[in-house]
Amino acid sequence: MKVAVDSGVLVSAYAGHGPSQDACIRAIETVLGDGVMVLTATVLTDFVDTVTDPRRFENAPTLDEAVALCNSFAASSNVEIAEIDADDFVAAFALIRDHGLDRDQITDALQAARLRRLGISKLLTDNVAAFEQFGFIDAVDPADPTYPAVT
Amino acid sequence: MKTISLSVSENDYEAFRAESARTGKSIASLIREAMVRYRDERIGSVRRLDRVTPFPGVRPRGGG
Repeated sequence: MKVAVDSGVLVSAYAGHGPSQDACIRAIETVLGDGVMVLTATVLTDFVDTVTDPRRFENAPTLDEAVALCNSFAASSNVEIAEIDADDFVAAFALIRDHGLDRDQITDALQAARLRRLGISKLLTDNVAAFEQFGFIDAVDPADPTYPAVT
Repeated sequence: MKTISLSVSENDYEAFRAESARTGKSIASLIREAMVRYRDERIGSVRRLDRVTPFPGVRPRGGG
C-alpha cells in the first residue's frame, strides 16, 4: 500500500522531540515496512527548508546533510518521490477556487492534487483538517493519541 | 551477450559517434559502458529504507 507523508510528520520524525517524534517515527517505519512511502516534491522542499532553519532548530542539520537524506529517500525502493507537473498546478488551483482556500494553502492543494492523480488517498499529516476538507484524502495525524495503526 | 536495437535522438547519436572517433571505441562499446554505469549507480544502489534515523543532536527551539 502506498501512503503519503506530509512535511510536518517528516520533520517531527527526523528533527522532532519527545512522544510526537516517537509516534511519527513508528508511523513512518510502519509504512516503510508494509508498503511504499510517497513524498511529493513539495514535501521534500518544505522538509529541507524547515529542518535546516537554525531559527527553528538547535544544531540544525546542514543543507548537505538534509539533501543527502533526501537522496537516500530517492534511492530507496520503498520510497516514491512524486514530481509535480503543470497538470497538478491546474488541478490545485481548481481546488483552491472550489474550496475558497487562502494563499498559504497552495502547497497543501498541490500535494492533494498530485496524490489524487496518483490514486493515493492515505496521508500522514500534522494538519488533518487542511486535507480532509478536500473529501478525497484520508488524513491521519500519527502524533494524535487516537491515531490508529496505518493499514 | 544479448543483442538489442534501440532508437536514439540525433544529438545523442552524434555525441556517441564523436566520442567513438575520439577514443577509438565502438559506439556499441560506449553504450555497454553507459549501461553498466547506470546499473551500478542507479539499479545496484537501490535499497529498502527500513529505519528512521533522526538527525543527531537536533532539537526544536522552544521544545516543540
